[in-house]
Amino acid sequence: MSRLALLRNLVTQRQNLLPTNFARLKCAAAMHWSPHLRQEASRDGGGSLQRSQDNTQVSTDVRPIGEKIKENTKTASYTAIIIAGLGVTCVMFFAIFRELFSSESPNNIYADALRRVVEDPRVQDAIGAPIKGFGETSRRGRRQHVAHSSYERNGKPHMRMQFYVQGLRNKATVQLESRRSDSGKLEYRYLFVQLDHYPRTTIILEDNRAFDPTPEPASAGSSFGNLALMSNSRDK
Amino acid sequence: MEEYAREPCPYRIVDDCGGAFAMGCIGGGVFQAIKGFRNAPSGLNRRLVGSIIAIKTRSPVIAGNFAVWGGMFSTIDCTLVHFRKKEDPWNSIISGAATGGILAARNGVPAMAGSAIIGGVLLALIEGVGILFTRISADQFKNPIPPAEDPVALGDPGRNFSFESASNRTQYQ
Repeated sequence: MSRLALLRNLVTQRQNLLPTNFARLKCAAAMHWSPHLRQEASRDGGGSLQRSQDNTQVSTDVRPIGEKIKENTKTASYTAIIIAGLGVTCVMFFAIFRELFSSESPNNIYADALRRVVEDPRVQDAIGAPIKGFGETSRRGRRQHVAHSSYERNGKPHMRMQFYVQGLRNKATVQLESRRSDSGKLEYRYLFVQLDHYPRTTIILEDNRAFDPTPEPASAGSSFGNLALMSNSRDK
Repeated sequence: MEEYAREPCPYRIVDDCGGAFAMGCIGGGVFQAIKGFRNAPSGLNRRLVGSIIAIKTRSPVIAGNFAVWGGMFSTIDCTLVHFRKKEDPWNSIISGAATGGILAARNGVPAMAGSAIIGGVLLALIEGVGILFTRISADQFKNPIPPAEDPVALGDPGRNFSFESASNRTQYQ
C-alpha cells in the first residue's frame, strides 16, 4: 500500500513538471522567431541607458563639510609655504644679480678701480708687478668683501671704498670715493694708493675734489676768484 | 703682526677640506640618526640601535663626499685667484660650477652639465645670502651724517692749481 502511494506521488510530480517545461519551450521558440520581442528588448536597453544618464547628474561628493574645510586649509597652507620659499629664493637671486651686474654696485666699482690701479706705471714701479687685488680678509681666508659705505651729499649718491693691492715687493691700500656726475655716469672724486710699508708713499691717481659743486656761486667780477674757490673747497 | 700674516690661499684648501668634512660628519650624523630611528623596527631600544648603526654605516661616506667637494672647490678658487689676480664673487660661482662638473665626470657629459649648473646656482645663492647679511648688518651701523673730512694723505685740494710737476705729487709721510 505504501509503495503504491509513493508511485502515485511520483507520477503526479511528473505531471506537474511537464507543463512548466512546455511553457519554457514555447517562450524560447517565440523569442527566436518573433520580431516584436526584439523591439521590446531594444526599448528596455534604451530605458536602462536613460536611467544611467539620470544617475550621473547626481553629485557623488558625499563627504561632510568639515572634511572639505580641512582639506582646503591643508592645501592653502602648503601653497603658502611654497610661495614663501620661492620668495626667499627670489630675494637671494635679486641680491646676487644686483651685486654682479649693476654698474653702481660695489663689486663693479672695485673691479674698475682695480684695473686702473694695476695698469698705472707708478703703482707698478712702487709695489712690483704682477699686482693682485682683494678685499677684507674673513675668518676663513676669503677676501671677497670690499669695505664700502654709501652716503648722499649735495643730493647725489656717493660711495667710499677701500681695498688692498699686493705686488712682489710691497702691499698698498687703495682708497676711493665715487659719485655720479652731471652726465649721469660714475666718476671718481678721488682715487689714490697708499703704500703700507717702507717707503710709505702716496700715489694719487685722480683728484677731482676741486670740481665739487659749491652751494653759493662765486662772484665773477672778483679779482680773488681763485682764492674764493680755494677757500670754499677748504671749508668743505 | 701684519708682516707675519700668511697668504691665505694654499693653506685655505686644507682648512676648507677639513671644515667640509666636519660639516658632513655632523650634518650627516644628524640626518642618518633621524632616518635610522624611523626605519628601525618598533621598540625604543631597537630604534636607538638602528640610529647608531645607520650613523656608523653612512656618516663617513657623507663626510667624505663633503670633504672632496670642499677641497675641490677651494683648489679651483685658489687657482682662479692666482690667474685672475682678483678676488670677487665671480670666483665662487665659477668654482662651484667647475666643481660640480668635475665631480660628475664619471656619469657622462649631460650629467656633468647638469651638475655644473646646479653647483653654479647653489654658489650664487650662497653669495647672495652673504651679500644680504652684509647689507643688513651694515644698515644697522649706518651713519646718518655724511663724512665731511677727506683722507689726510690727499693733501690740500688747492694744490691742483699749482704748476708742480706730476712727480712732485708723491709726498712722503
